Amino acid sequence: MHTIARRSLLSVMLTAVVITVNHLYSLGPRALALGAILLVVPAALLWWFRNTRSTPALVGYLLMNLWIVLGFGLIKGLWESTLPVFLGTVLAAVSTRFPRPTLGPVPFELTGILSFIGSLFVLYYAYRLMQARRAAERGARRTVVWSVGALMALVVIVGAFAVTQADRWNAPVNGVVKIAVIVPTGGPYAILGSSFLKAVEMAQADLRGTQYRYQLVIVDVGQDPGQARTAIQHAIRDQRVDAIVGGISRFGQVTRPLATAARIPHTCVCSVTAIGDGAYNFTNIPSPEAEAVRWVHEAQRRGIRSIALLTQDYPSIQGHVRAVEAETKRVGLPVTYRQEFADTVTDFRSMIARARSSNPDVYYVEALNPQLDVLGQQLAEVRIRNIASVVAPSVSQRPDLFEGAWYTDSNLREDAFRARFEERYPGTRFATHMMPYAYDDFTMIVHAFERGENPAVYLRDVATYEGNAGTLTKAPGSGTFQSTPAVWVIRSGKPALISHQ
Amino acid sequence: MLRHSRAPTILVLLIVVVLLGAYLIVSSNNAAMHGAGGETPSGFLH
Repeated sequence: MHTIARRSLLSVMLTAVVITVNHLYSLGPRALALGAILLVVPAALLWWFRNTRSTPALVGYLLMNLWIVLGFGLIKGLWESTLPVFLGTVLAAVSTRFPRPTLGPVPFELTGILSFIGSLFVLYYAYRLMQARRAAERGARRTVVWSVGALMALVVIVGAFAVTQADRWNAPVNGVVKIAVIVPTGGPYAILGSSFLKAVEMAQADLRGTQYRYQLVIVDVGQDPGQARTAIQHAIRDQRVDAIVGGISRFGQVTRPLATAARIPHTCVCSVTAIGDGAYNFTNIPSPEAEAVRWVHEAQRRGIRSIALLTQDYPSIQGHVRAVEAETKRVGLPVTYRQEFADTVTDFRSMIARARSSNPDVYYVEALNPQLDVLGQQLAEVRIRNIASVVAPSVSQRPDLFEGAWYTDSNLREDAFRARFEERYPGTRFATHMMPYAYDDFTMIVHAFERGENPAVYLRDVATYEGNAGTLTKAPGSGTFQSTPAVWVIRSGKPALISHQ
Repeated sequence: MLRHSRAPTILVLLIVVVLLGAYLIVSSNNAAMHGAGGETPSGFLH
């Protein structure tokens, strides 16, 4: 009895420690209070029982064991960690009906699994303790009954997990598919956000003869991602949207966990590719590597043999410059001058002079406004016109400064798409690196419903999609749609597409 | 006696294998789901 009691308490205490570490991720320091309760209360009850043989003490101790086994072992440890890690991963590998499980950090998941394993020891020694108390050891037969019972319970739990994890087709209620549009349209996001919204509206207006009616639910997310959560939750929970199309990474990052929890697909024209998990969240925009390959290819086509880089110190620009430099190195295209500048710089004349003295064939320029236009102005003053970039000239407020400059930006399958947009929304700026993706994201969701497929499963299955941005491709299991950029030039103060690919 | 002395060792080994497998699965899953974590050049405002 003493040995069993000691082992029972030891298993409870070790499991309590693991549970405490696991809950540090969700409760923070409050997990220490939970740990203290799980350590102290069972120890006190067992000490009471061993000294007095009190039945209430034993019942209390066994109830604490039950809490650990059911609450932390089975629900948190087995259902929320062990099954997703092992069975969830296997199911997702077997069929796209099952989403790739969204897992926490490694220590969190390992302590979750250990909580389950520990709870099995707690259960075993609690059982032995009860046996010893009743002094009714019935030998092997009882053990076999328990083993068979445990095995059957495990089979039921595993089956239930597989059934609840599968994403199934549900016909839209009353034939109406509600698609949330989550994009900021004010402040610094005005051009991109408004373009996105209008592109989705145009895609909706272009629908003909569809089986279902597609209703846009415009979500007013403001300009602060922190405050957007409530509006997004309202759209998901109260307005019961069936899918989400969105843009701007800072808002996509807020939407991602909410879409996953609701198990509805979320497509995002987002530059932060980490948002696309391949389960319920998918990003759609060219990668820096794709831009770099296309840019260097065009440079070679133009007979360019040397490059000077004048670029702003900004994360996304640095990422692009890294990709361009890697590609130029790969093909043996020398960089004669390289200068990065802060967003406080307003006088670029000395660095322009140094770059010019290196005698490059082209000046690669990439910056955010207002630096972009100031740099453009100072380059124009010294009659430097051999300028190239990625995207930047398309967001310039003074595109005339970049007359003749060539750059890579999103592809457009048909220029008529832009013409239709400009005709439908006169005076609205056409954001090339937003519009076609927004349109395609919406139509992909529509295709899923028209085919009678769960939209999340449909998006997981898409390998290629012929959209307005050209051919989109996605590797199996990936959450990132890739596309090949095109080459544009500033002609008569406006972006003009000169090469589809 | 031999069986009794081996059972805990086998149990510990099993637990270690389970945890090692979980470590590999969770690491690769998280790496795949979060991608490179990069931002495209057109991340001006995206």
